[in-house]
Amino acid sequence: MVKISFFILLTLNLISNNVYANSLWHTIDINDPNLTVEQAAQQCAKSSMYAPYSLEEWCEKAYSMGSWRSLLYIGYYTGDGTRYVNEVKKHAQADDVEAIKILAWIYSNGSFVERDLNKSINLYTDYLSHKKNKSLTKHQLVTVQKALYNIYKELELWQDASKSLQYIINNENNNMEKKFFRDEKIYISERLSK
Amino acid sequence: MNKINMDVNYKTMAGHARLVMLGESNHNTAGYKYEAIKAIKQLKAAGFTHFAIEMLPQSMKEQVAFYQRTGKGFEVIQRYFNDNWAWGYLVPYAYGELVKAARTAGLKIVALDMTLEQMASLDAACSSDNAEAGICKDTHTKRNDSWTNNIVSIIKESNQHRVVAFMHRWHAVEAASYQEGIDTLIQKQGIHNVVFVDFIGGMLCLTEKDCRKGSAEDTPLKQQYFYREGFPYKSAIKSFQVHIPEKRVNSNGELQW
Repeated sequence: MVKISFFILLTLNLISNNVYANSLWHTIDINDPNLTVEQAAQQCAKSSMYAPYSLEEWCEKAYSMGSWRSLLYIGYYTGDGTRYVNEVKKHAQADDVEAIKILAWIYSNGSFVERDLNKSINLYTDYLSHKKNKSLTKHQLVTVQKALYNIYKELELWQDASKSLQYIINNENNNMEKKFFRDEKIYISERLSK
Repeated sequence: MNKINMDVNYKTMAGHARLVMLGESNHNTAGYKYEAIKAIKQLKAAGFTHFAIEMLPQSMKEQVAFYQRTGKGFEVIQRYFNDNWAWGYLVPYAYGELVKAARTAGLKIVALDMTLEQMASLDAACSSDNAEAGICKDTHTKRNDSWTNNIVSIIKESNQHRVVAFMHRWHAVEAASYQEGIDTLIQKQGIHNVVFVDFIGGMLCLTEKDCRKGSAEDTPLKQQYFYREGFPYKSAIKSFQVHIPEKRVNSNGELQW
């Protein structure tokens, strides 16, 4: 009887590994004492694609280990991003510069909050001028200027859009992107001349 | 929330788009693949020429071309799904049916993704914290870049080319602040007529008997088949959601509704 039970368990285990484990989604023991916060956060993000039935478990685990960003996926899954937004706000108020940037992103796209482009501009500006951000790389600065450019363009703030655009053109390394923004410059110049 | 429309018509949704991205809200629901089969038949009739699929790597291009040309060698493709895309009951089988349907419809099948080995190596090179800080691009974003280039090259090859691409929704549009979606990447390459159709609802079955309901709609709508314009999160392009009823797929691969 014991042997038969063991055989059944082994077979079920093999089937379940066959169904759930491969390079896209790793079967990891959530209670593994050596589990890192990075692994838990990756499992949380990937579960939204490959294993939504274990998303809450993984994202709560990642959150309990310190990855507050993992609450984003719970927000997507449940449709309620209140916890995520509150957590981002808490960290932004505590001077976490990455949280300030994420909050700017949240207000720019209106996920889980009412869209507020002016608030987003202020937050991106705070991020850029923050004393902790003196060592930002060009790539990081360009990324934020692109976000600002899109907002300025939508609000038809052509002077500000033009400034962001010039920064992007001067500092973007990707030629394809550079070409796109150079073409945008023509569009913005036309608006400025009106 | 926009009003719902019971007449699910992909030709109407596509309009004059050069690219229609069909996005699965998860990979585990077999019903989404069957919905994609309905979609590609209608889109072929509307003039679409190519079917690009996330679930096949570019490294299988030759095997896919051989199957396309001769109708032979499908077992290699099915084996790949069985080995790597078995996210639920009938899921790999349904992916196989989708590829078969694309061939039967006369759409050129395009294997879109990187290999799993490439992804594993990229995973190791960029942590999510570093990606979020803008220090490096994570695997997800690099895959989006690569797919965009692939799709753009097809579209620019001929003004007759129109592509249907099947993928997870978080590739079609931005999932996190540091993961730019194909919706914006493709516009930077001059392609603006793009539509996103997000599949929601359905029944997610891990085994024949272990199924979970997948609809977040109010009760009267859970069993309904409908679409509506819009997407609840950020999308830079015209978007729709198609809701499939909370019903399971039969063991022969047919839907119950």
